[in-house]
Amino acid sequence: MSAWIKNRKFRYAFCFAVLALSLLLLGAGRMNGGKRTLSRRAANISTCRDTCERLLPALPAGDRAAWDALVRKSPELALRIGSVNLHELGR
Amino acid sequence: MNPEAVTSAEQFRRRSGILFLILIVWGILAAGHIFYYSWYLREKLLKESRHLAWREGVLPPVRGRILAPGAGALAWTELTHDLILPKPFPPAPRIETLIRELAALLPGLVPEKHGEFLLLKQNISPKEILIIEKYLSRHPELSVVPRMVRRIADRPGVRELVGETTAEAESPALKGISGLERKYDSELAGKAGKFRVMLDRRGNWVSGTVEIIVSPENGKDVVLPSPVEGLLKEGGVRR
Repeated sequence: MSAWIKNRKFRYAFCFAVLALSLLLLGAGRMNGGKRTLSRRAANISTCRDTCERLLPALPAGDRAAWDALVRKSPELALRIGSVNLHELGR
Repeated sequence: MNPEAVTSAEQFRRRSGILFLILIVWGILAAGHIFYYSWYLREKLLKESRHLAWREGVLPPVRGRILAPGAGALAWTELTHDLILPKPFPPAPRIETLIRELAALLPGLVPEKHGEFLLLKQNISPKEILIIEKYLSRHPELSVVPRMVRRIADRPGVRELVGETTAEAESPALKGISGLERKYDSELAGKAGKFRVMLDRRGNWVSGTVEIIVSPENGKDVVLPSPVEGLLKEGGVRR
């Protein structure tokens, strides 16, 4: 065992293996997490759009095209300005 | 062998040992710290952070229309928005700066003080909201709030027949209080939705965190069983 540790080549190989494994684990974690976050974000934005689109018939006819543009460009802002009573969650 | 050299080597070994010991103690403390917060206090801290960061809001429904056979819509809801500065107000110089900067973006800004808020612009259009979109995200103290207005067909006797609505508490959603509005309130009213969103430390919505918990349901349109003239006669008899 001690002979292995004293061997410089072995030490280099060991460090390289640890580094490679760490990078692989890091990359794998980021990839899965990233994919999940992106799909969840896309789903949330799509829900915002759907919810805001239901307000379209209530808008004055002259404002509908601009509302549509607002919902497409910034669905979260459209939802925000259509919502009320933002409050803390109960403990 | 030089005795001084031995002493230096011994000193070096001792100092290295102390340094190593300090590093080990530091490592143990750091590990304990991580363990304490990530395992022992985990649930409590998660609960606390959820409470601090997440907010729940209401999505008001749009009231349905009242339609008469052969006469089209007698009553319908129009959604408008107002740009306001709610309480607590920032210091006066800050308000002046906000108004000056907004006036450069939105011509015709006439601030008007109301009880709980400063009305900066009534009936702000979606086009104008798009213009101030970036300004709004930089100034979370400003709010664009929805307002629902019930419009009634301009025909003699229709206003009395349709009746009146009033805004519900803490919501722009409308409730029928007289006439047909009251009679068909359960169909016309719709159901409010509920959503959850995460806020950052400045009070801005964190992008991509909106979750619709309950989808809002707009009110249904009500088609009256007989033409307006008949209903007006009936109403006139009753009045």
